[in-house]
Amino acid sequence: MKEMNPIISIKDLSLAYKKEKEITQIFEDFHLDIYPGEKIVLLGESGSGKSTLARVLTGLLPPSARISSGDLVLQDIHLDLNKKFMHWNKIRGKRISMIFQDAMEALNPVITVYDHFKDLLLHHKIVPEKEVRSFAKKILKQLRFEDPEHILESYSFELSGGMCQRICIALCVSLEPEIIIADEPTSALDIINQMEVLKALKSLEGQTVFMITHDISSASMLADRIIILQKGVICESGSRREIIGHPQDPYTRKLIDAYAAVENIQRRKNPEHGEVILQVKDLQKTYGRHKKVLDNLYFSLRKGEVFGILGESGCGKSTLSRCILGLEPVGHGEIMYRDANLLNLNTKARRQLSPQIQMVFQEARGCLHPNYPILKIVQEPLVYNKLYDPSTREQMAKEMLERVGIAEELYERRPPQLSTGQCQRVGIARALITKPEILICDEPISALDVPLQLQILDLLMQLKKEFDLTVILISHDFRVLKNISDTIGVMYEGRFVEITTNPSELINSQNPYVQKLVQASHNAFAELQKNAQ
Amino acid sequence: MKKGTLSIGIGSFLLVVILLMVLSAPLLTAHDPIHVESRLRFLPMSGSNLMGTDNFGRDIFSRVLYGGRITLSLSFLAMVVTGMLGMIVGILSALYHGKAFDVLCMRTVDVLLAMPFLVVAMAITTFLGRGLDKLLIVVVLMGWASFARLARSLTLALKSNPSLVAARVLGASTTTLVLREILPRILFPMVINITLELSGIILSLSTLSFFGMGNKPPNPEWGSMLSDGRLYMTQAPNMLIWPCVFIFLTVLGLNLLGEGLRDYANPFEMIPLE
Repeated sequence: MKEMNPIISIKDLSLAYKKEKEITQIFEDFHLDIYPGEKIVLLGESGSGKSTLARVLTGLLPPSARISSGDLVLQDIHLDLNKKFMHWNKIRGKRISMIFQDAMEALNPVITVYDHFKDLLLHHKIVPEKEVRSFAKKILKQLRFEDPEHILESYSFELSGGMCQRICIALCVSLEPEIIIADEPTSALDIINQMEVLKALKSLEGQTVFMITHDISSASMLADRIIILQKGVICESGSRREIIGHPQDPYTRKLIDAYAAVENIQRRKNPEHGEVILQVKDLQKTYGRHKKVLDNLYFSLRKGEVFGILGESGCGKSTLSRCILGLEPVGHGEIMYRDANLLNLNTKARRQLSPQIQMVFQEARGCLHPNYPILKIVQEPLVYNKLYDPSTREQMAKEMLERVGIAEELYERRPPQLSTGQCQRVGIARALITKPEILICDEPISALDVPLQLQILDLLMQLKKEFDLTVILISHDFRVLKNISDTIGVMYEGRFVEITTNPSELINSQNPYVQKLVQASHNAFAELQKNAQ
Repeated sequence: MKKGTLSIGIGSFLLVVILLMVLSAPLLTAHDPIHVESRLRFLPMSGSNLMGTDNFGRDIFSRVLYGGRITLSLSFLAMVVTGMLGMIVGILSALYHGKAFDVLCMRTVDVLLAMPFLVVAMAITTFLGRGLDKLLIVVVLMGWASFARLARSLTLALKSNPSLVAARVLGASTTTLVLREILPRILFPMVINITLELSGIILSLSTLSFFGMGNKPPNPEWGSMLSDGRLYMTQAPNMLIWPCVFIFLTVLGLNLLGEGLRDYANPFEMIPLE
């Protein structure tokens, strides 16, 4: 493949972000060639400059970016990136297309999918207006949509995130661009939708695709060639088999090992659980008049147990946790915590129980107050519930922060000045400072890079043992739950379709939905391991 | 230099100068602003009468300075009251989003915003009578609505913010939630908007005085000075120009300050790009 001329190449790129007087150098003499027809994946953790690269290729850099040198060669076009180029409109879309992380946001919610096609195709003069429908149908069929006619008449909010992303891909493909850039196309999706999108990208034969991701399993599904980017430098590059099977660079090895290790976190399970401390009976909740979010939901939680809730996005798992925490009104049912029915308590009594039931959030940074130093943030639950005196609170907060591995010099920093992993640690410290009995973790690691996922999961399990916690762990990824949950409940359309104490049972489940979910996360990993051998 | 710094600088300079002039009026002028001396009518600008005299022979410079005391203090009071009232109603409305209280407040806001300010103000002063206190009531009554709407939308946007949800999970009471989480975060945009709106308040106070609804003569006040000046526009343009200049400079200063603050302070700019 290397004998061919590259379809697009970046030469000697030097780029920095300038913020007030602070200059952050991202790339220095960076060089990249992309060859026709290859599926190339750029893998790196957040802050490595991978999104910046996508923006360089599409001319969408923010005003704070300063390019000191660099050329972009697109076959016949030679762009000096240093100079202002006014004709991006001739290149974008038609020659370089891009799909974004959040497909729901990328589509206009007030017009149908058909209108999206019409606008695009007419603007670029691909087909006359009367042929738009048949052309769009052809493209959708090519991307294996089951009912193109129905899809064309739908609005983005009627479709799942994965569907929207596939429609974005279809829109890109209809212009026959030389290259499609995909910036984290799967990271906002649950695992079933991830698989669908990756399959769609993979099915584009002969199409050059440049995908940016932090997820090594997505990379292993799609890539012909993988490039590992770290702090603006390519630290390793090679075919999928080379990279995943025989990683040379220590950083690459760390990424791959961490991925495998997430699945292999072991916890000594204790089958002798204590008494039932939380019981949910016949829980029902509807949004509006008809949309049932929780339907006829039963489960019970024993002391010391790790209860894993598995389900795709929109199945009601987050709503369930919000109901248990009293954040949302419930239509019908019972939530018994020890002897108290949480739904019958008034606001004050409910609040007095809050030190007992705590939560770790998915939005590690977002869930912390942006303007307070973290030492103060960790004390919040004690302040809110008027526990202990100020000096004891501070002492406890320091102990908790030390326990979750936050160094003392960071105590006065504010969340925007910390990394995502550190923020998640602060979030955990804050949840545990009241010594809760039940800890609800809603997708605690899905927004993190893989090595961080491992650290946080490991920390959670250590703390579980140390604080004798009962944990409800919510995730869409079976791999995360498999080895650390005592019980796994699979949620579908607002109820548990299967609850089991033996995760391997789920692999052989008769229920088609469970099978699909478990297979999806199993597949990604199997692919990786197959490549590793 | 950070964005907005220049506007803030110019704006606050203007305001400080005007405020200092108004506050130190007795030091800057020896004339009594309400002393009538008919032989000194319509004098042009000179060393002893910096801005000339008006139709009653009163010194315009001293009237502008003393008048500023009334206009500015009244506007400031009106601003604080409208701002606080609007903020309280708005936050409560957002907290009880969709409940009867919210509906009642927001429909009231709709009605108030739909009514033409001057017409309603005239109607109210007909009932209440003339006077600065009545003027204050009119401005507050008509002014809180837009702040309430702003405070409500800011709070609603915050309500689904994960850190607010987290605070609720951690056991924060509604009062704590408002004081610790909501208020500090909406205060800044509110203050900026209120600053921008203060110029509007000054203008509407002046307008009402211009129509003879506020200030009682012979006390000076910028709006009523304009109203008097209009009658003698051709004979003594000074009567019209100088109050105008002061209103203009104050409003300009406030707008520059408000917009500068808005550009300058974005608490989320701290977050790194990726």
